Amino acid sequence: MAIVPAGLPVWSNTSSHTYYGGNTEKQDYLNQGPIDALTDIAANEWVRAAEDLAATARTADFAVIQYTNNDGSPAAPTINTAKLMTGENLAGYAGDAAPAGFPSAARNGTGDVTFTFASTYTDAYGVTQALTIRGAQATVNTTTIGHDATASWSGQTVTVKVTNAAGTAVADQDVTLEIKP
Amino acid sequence: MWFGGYAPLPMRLHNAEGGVSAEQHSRFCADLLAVHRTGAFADMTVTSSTATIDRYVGAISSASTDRPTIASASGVTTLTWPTSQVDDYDRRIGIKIVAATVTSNTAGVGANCSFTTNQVVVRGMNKSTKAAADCTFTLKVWALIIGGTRIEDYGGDTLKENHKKEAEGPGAWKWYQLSVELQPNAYSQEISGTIVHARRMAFGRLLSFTARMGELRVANSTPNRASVKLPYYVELLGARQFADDSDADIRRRCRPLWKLALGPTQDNIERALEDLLGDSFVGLILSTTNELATTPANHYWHYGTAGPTAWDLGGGTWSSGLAHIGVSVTQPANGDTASFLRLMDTEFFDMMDRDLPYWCTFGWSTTGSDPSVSGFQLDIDQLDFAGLG
Repeated sequence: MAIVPAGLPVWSNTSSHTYYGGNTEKQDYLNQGPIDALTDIAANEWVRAAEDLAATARTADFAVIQYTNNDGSPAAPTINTAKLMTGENLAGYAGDAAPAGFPSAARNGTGDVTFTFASTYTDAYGVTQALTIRGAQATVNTTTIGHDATASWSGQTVTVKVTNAAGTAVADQDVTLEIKP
Repeated sequence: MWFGGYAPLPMRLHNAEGGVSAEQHSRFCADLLAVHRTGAFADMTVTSSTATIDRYVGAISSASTDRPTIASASGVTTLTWPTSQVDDYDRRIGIKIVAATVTSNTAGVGANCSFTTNQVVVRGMNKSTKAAADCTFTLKVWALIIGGTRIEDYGGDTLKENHKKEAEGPGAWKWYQLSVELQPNAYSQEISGTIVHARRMAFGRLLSFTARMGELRVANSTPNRASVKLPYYVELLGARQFADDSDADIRRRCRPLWKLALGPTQDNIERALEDLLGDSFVGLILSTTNELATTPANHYWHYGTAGPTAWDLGGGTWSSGLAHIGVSVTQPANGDTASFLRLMDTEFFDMMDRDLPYWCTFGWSTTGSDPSVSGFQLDIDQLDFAGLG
């Protein structure tokens, strides 16, 4: 029977060192520390790993997506790279043909796209956990000064708008988007 | 896993208070993988006017030799990393940047950036004058994943369970206690800092090791828990291997082959499919009947019940629904399509083709969340025959 991991997946925002076997009372068996540095792990080393993983998990992005807007020939944006906590897509895909487990993306207008994330995601052990988007940050990857991207979110969607220095929507830009759980 | 000198590596997972349970280790693996996937390659704060990197954190290395070179003029800052870096374990890792975000920390100045394989260029702009401008900015850069890409890279396995043999305490401690009992009281009773203690510790760990070797032999007597003998089972069972296989992958592939060596009964086939397909396996689709007075659907044979001529390759049509094993499967929510298709079109086919009787045919079909609704079915009904026709 498949194992059920302790605790909840990272994007639940509940990460704790206790999920990983951390315990403030943890100690080496009979207080005998490592004898052979190449074969033994000490309790204080494991609790450090548990605490540091929990710390990293608390501030980690749920997703980092690098994409290109398709405005000249209007179409859904092209996702060049999608790094999600639940999987990576480095081959890229069309926003309106998202592979299972990756967000879809639709073009609203020039420089304006909306990503739609699933309400739940599943971790490597098959544990399903709701995703609540609590933040988003976007940057235009361009050689033109003044281009700017703003990201807003509502429920499972994140909308990114790209403008130039004058505040006018600008077409066909590359953007990197971070999603905070 | 107990910690310390009585419990040398490899770690043993158990749910006693002093250790780490299989459930905790599984969460550790899953979460580490999750944060590793979205973790930045580099995170830094830069002042462009002086071309100074004020703060730099690198995922692989923060050493001065692994930081980017910096050049800045007229609000345009270019950061160039070495094409590869060496990690803490002396592995040389190539750098390929795939995403970057920048935030200006200077009031009235915005920033954006572009990137190539190992270079990021940040451009600041005065929002009032619309002219290029220097600023202090915070930059995050992501590169292709480095290091672990699966839970198996951290010892994870969906079948992991708590260890039982040493769950009451490390074997080395039990042997240590025995050595105390065997030695007269004249010997030191201290459990640290004496030569007697050191000898007892060595004795305990040695005998614990020999006990573990016995356990290792038992565990490797089948592919189910095998480690060092996995290559043997691969050869013995003729299991297919792929370049990116982990030990867990090989065990998963050998396990059903081992079971089917007992014979392809319905029960053995089901259990083998559960092992091979895991969460993807939904169930068997079998056509069974005792009523043969009327020819069952899709049954055709030479000079008996003729099938459609379009299906006939010569000499009459052969087809038996009763001898066909349909396998209903579903693609796991967290699985990618390529892995799923490799599982179904290569690994599944390998096993069924080899271990089913020659007169038995098989195929698979996808099933969504509603098991009563089947998706596209391959090798069922007229599809392949029509294709041949």
